[in-house]
Amino acid sequence: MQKVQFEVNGDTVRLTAEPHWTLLDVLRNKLNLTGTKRGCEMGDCCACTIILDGRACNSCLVLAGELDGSSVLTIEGLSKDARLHPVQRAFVDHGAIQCGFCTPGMVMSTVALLNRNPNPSEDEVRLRLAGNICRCTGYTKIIEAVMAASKAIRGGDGITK
Amino acid sequence: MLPRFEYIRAKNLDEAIRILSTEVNGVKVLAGGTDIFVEMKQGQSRPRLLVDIKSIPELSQLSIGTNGELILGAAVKLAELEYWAAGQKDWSGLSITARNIGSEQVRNRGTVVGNVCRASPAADMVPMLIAMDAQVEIVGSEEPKLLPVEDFLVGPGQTVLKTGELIKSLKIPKPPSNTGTAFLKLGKRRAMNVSIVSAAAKITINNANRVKSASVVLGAVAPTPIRILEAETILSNEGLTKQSLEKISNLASARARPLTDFRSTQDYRLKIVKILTRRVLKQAWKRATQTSGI
Amino acid sequence: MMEFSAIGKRTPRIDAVEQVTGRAQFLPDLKFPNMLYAAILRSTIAHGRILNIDTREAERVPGVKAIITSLDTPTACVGFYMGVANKECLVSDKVRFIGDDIAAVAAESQESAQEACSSIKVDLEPLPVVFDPEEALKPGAPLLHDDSPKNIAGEIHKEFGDVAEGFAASDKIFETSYRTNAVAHCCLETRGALAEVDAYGRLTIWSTTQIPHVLREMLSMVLDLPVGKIRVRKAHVGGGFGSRQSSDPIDLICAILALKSKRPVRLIKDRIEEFTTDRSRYPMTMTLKTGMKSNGRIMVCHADILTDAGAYHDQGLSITGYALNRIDHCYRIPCAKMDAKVVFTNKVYGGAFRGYGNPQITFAIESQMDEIAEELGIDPLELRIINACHEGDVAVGGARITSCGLTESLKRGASVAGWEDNRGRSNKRGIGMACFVHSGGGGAWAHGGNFSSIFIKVEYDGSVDLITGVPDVGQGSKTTLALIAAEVIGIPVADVRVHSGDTGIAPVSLGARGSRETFLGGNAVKLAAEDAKRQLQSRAASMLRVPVEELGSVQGKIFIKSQPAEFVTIAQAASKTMHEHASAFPMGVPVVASACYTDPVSEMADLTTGYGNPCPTYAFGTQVAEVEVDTDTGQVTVLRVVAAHDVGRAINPMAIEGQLEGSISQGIGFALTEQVIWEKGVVKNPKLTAYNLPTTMDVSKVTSILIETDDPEGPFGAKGIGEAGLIPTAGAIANAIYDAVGVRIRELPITADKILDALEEKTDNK
Repeated sequence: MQKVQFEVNGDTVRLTAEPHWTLLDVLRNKLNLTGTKRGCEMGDCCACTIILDGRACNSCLVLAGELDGSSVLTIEGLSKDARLHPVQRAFVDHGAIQCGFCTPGMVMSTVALLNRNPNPSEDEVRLRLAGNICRCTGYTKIIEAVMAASKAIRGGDGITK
Repeated sequence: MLPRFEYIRAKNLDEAIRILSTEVNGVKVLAGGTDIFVEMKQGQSRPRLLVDIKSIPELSQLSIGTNGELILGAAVKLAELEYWAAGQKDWSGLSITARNIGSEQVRNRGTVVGNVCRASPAADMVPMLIAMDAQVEIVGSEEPKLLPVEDFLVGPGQTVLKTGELIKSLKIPKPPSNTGTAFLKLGKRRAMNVSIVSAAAKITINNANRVKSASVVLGAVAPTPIRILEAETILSNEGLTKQSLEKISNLASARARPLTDFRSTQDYRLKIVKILTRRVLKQAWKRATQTSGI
Repeated sequence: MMEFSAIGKRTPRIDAVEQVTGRAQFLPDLKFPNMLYAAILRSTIAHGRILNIDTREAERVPGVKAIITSLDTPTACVGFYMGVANKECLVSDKVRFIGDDIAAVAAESQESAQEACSSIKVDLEPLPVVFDPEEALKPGAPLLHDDSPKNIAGEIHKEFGDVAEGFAASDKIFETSYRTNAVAHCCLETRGALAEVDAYGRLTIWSTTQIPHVLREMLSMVLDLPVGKIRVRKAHVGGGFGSRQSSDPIDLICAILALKSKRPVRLIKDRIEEFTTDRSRYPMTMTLKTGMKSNGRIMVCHADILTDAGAYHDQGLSITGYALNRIDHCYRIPCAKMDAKVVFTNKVYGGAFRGYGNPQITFAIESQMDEIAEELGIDPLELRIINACHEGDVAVGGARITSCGLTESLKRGASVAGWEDNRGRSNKRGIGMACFVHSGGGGAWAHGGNFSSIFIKVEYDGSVDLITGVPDVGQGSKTTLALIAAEVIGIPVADVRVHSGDTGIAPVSLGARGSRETFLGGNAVKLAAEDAKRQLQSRAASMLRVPVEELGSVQGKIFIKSQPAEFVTIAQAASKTMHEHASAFPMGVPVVASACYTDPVSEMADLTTGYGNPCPTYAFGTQVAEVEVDTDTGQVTVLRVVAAHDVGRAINPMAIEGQLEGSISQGIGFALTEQVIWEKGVVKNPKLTAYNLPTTMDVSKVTSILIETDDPEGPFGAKGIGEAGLIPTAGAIANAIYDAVGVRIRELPITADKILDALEEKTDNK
């Protein structure tokens, strides 16, 4: 067992974790943050994407024990003040959601991308989101939503990072 | 959930070496985790103890050495290499290679050295590293030693690392000026694939546009990557022509020993070996000429 | 042209905000106090007799609360069809595929459950195996089921019109065979079930199901529990595509474990288990013998299908029959013959997958159409137009076409795709087309009737609750139904709440399948909403002192049409009390409505001949694919798909486009890269990265053209689009590849190596 302390969505978490617990296990089972989904648990689908120390990562491939001192942002942390993040707004408005299971991971991947590159080309978007599998939408409206969100953010649509 | 194991975070290199030397059975180094956790989930691996090396300061460093060589610490992530090397004339080939591996999420955790150490026959970083004459720096109870990557890998999943040893860094010599590199992989879809065939090439030209040195390395078609040594002689003697490329690609196909598996057939892989060999050399040549401004 | 206030507007899903914030709850997100975790012990051999099962060691594993084998489970079967399905939830005599369910454990943790499973000792006597349906038919082949000689799960033999005459009258006869392989649904959420029993012995099952009420019937029959003691519920569901339109052993296993342990029991398949034990699209070998006149008219078609059923039988015969039934009402065919054998092999058994056999047969038909076109010297577009069905047609097998946009879809699809300019270029780019017919509002006569029902209540604030059995598994049915209710009652769609898929409170619906939710569910909503509207307008009429005929309802208001400034709000009408004086909280007379819509159009097909019209509507469409082929590597890039679809009425254009784009992505996978690969009964690629479904980098641009033919019976003319987008894609791509590089691949997936081999053969033959 290890003691770890890290931040999740701005809140400090202190945890005694078993070595084999992943961040995904901790989020869903210990912190009741079930917005992050378990799709494959092998890094193949990216449904469990969260932002760890500023970078999009699969939470199924990060151990709880590796988190000491780190900062995690999950889908729940994007709209804490009940206003939708521009990426979320764009996904809703552009029909980029069908069953919704890939959506939290897809949104977090997008937020990480736009934080790193506020003005990506469509090719860049496809590349950076290539790990996020969606079986419902065929990605077309997701790409449209990402491009729209990028435009909205550059246009000054307020966000909390 | 993952199967159970013990976990230690090494604070420095000595501690890591000590643990690896004393805890003999069932211990593995943990860097990015993007391979080891998947293997554990699939039941292919059951380590008893994981030694996390990410807190060892020098292992996370990406730096340029005194001779202009690129030094990648064992914990440097694929994404770090990809983004850093992207605009760099000398290292852009490494960037392109890294970008072809897995997903953005996997590249944000997985390490360059991890890709090498897993020693998959289809490890995508390896052909480019070999083409660029990279070496691994091995540390352990003995004196640190440098070994070319192609000598480091001895078979599928097998390296020369002994108990108590680990990789401290990868060292890639600064390419001469007028050098171009290229990497190509072919998979069943355009992202998130294990390569069916991969190829990397490095070509250096002189002021008269003649090939001074060349290397072409194939991945995924033999237990370890294959370097086609004759490429340099053929290209420096004949230049890049349809005939010289055909000669080299035929040699490549003759050397390759691909398998038939659920991904692809031996027959198809041999055809693609020829195609990728030609294409990767042409691309490397083009980049060399662009670099030189000729 | 009708003007609508809600219908036809691009409307975001009404549940999108909860999905995009991570607040939408899926089955694994639900917390149940005292829950146990279940695990299944599965066979590691493809065929074997069970000699003994010893659970004693497993019982001693700490945390284990219940272990069951077939001794604890009924012998009745799991699936969709009674009496036909022969998969027991835990097998009693033999295992018949790697992964077959032998025993199950419920324990305090997943880890204990799995440890207990590993401790169960099973003695299996290995039996000879057979993996290929043609081998399975041969004399002496290993027999999977004693009551199915030659491993034949079922056969179909039907004939309509004078087939011999049709062939005799043909100028040319074409006979070609095509093959499709198994593809997996790859829903992002793996299958799961949770069962709990209350103090009265009533069972609640939470399931990732597409068919809550049908699942309830199955459970009732198999468990011998009255329907009133079973409740099926669903949370948000992460995809279905047909995989969940049949029950699965895990539904029953959780129920029985819950009954035995008296605690909630949950089982969620992991991704490898999903790949190896969930049912995929039935592989089919299809031979089409088609007689043609030289002028391009089809005279006759004989379709013969060999379906690989896998180890058990459930929907194989139905799906094969559905595939065969399509051959006579996309094109006008005077006579048709349909034959099929559905054959057992020692692999996971197949299941329904978007299109229900139609993707397979349409690939065959549309590939052959192009082969015929070339041989006859007729442009493929022209050939299709010559033969296309029209509104008013009655097919030789009995299908009645009451609305048809096929010709329009051909012409518009071809025009937008630049058919004239882009065909026959020799730059390794090509375009190809395929069209199709698919039923809407179908899939029901197997249950003895076609209907859907709904409850509506109007709240005092003018908002509305729809309580429907129609389950939304991601395809957006909640929003479609909300739009229809909003349109009819005259309120903003944001004021409609939809409660779906809970059999405890919703009246019966037959589930999300057969592209029926918009047609049947939508018509039920329309009927009930019209009743609600009548009640509201009747009150408004008295409040405004005008006859009801003079009123209109829109955006929350009931207004006098000639004086729109005179209105009452729907809220006011809904809140109207019996007496204007109320000293406590005023409580208006409730506005409640219900409806059961029974389909007046379709009918059960004749049980002997198969003649009939089992679906109330038919959707048509054409897709034109543009591809580029790398002739060195054989890789195909799909550059664009133009999808011209007859949808009847586009209730929500944004959702329809989404369905098309998603289906086409699945179609591209079906055409080019996806295949469940078995080797000696073992799935070799049970991983998303080894299975190769499309990523963002693998899909093409999609141009959707929505054609509105205003179906006479559909709600506001709508038909159904859930499956249609997938059906012609592979055929269009195969035909485009032929246009690009002149090779005809008759087996899916059209992988790069097949193209290279074909190109080589073409060069050799020159």
